[in-house]
Amino acid sequence: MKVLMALLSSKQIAALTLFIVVTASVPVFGGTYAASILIIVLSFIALVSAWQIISGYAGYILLGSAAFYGLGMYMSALLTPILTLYGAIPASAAVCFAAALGLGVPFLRIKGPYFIIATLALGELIRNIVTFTETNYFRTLGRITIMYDLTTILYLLIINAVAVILAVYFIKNSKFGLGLMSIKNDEIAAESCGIPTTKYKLLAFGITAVFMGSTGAIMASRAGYIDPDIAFPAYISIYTLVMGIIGGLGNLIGGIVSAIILTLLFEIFLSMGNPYPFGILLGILLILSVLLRGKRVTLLRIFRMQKITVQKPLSPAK
Amino acid sequence: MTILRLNKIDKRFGGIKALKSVDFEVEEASIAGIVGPNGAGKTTLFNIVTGYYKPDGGYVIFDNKNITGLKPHQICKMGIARTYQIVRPFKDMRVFDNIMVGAKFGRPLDKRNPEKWAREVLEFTGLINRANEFARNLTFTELRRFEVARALACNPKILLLDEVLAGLNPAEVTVACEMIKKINKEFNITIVIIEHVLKGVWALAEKVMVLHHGEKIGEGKPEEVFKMKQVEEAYLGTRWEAVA
Repeated sequence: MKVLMALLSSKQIAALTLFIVVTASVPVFGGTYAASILIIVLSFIALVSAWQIISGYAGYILLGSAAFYGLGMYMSALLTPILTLYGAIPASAAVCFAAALGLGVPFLRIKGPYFIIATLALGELIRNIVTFTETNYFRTLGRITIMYDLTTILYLLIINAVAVILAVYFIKNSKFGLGLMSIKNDEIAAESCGIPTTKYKLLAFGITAVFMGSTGAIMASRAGYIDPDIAFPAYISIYTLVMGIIGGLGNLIGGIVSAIILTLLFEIFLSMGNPYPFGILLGILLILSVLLRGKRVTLLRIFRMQKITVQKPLSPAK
Repeated sequence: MTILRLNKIDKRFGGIKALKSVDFEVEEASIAGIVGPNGAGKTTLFNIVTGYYKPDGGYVIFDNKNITGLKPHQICKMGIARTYQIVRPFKDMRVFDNIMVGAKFGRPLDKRNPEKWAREVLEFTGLINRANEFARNLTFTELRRFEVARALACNPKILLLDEVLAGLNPAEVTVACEMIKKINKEFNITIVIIEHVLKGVWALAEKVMVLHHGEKIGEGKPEEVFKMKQVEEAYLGTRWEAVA
């Protein structure tokens, strides 16, 4: 706690405390329905914030979040009976980290739009590997997961979300973050300035995978039953990317806000019995934010363009 | 003392021999120049020294260590920094942060404070007033100085400058030459400069190597080298009398 006090400003601590208090009190005052929506919101907050590390900072746009989310889910389904959920979460995260390091070696050599397409395939690849092993070796397709009660899952997700937000915030302000942003700007120049680009990209990819995996691991015990279509849904990959882009690449707060707004919006459309207009709206928002990106405007302008600088600005020359 | 030694460097791109058995030595704390027409292999040579290309033959000795085959970032950490012919700023970062990248990731600064060092570099290159600006907002001339500043921030022992004078007007060339000389004298940094602007090399370099079609066709003091017949032919073509 003291370390946090030293590293965060009082405003940031207040905001974080408010976030924890509000989310934690939802099951007490809001009931089950509100809590179940909050669970989705919190998991998307964690996914988008984790996405910012590899995509927002290092500039490798990831369209395969479902790969690590689903891998986390499956690892949790396998490990929870042995380790309980509390042991399964870090174990699943560790598996995702290892998977990201292994997959990152070939994938992170691909640049620009080709990387985006490759990661879309990555989600499908892992889904098909899981389907193949499950049907051939375990003679099953789905798995029953051990369910935990709503409040426990909610609190775990709050801890998870806060951990991601803090991790992303500290990365952004660290030497590591400075290196990632240089890689995003110009990888060749970054390498010749002494940044070990391959190592940094792999590490960023790994950290992203860790938090996506831990989110999936928690969500597995909310699901009760998982199969490849539930664990690796394409919408997870797409929503995470859309939320990240609408919130602004590398904009932590923007991503969180757009995760909250878009998830709630989806719920509203769903409750009216017709979720399809939401897809249209999402498409329009995405096109707009891509078109306006060149003008360095994000749709969430009210939350201020993220300051791309890492260091404290220099005071005027004396 | 020789700080950088290239030994029989060969490099092929498919069927094209970009460098043919090139030897070159650079004395510590000196300024050396590499000149040659377009496509002579000058930048390829820099790319080999900084680790972007692996030579097909030969090796590079820096500071008595064989650095052939090391990664570019390892070579930078050992003390070789470079600039690019086409500038490569981190556009969406502030000038100060750009310089901080060099100061934090380059050759270790011992106990010096990276921020103080970055400020020193900015003051030296005259960019201190632009420190809070985004790098994309710098003018052409500023970007040229900025490239040198970021390389200098890496705290190198040897600085490879790839056509830093290209596109500058005569007055700016004079200023830039003064700055390069000062880097050499004040920071005691060895400099290797690739240049098209012969005036620049003439004024700066103590020793010049001329490359033509990947071959070394001349080496020595600038005033001697530019009188050599083969150098003249490479730049201007064969004399009319000689043809007749």
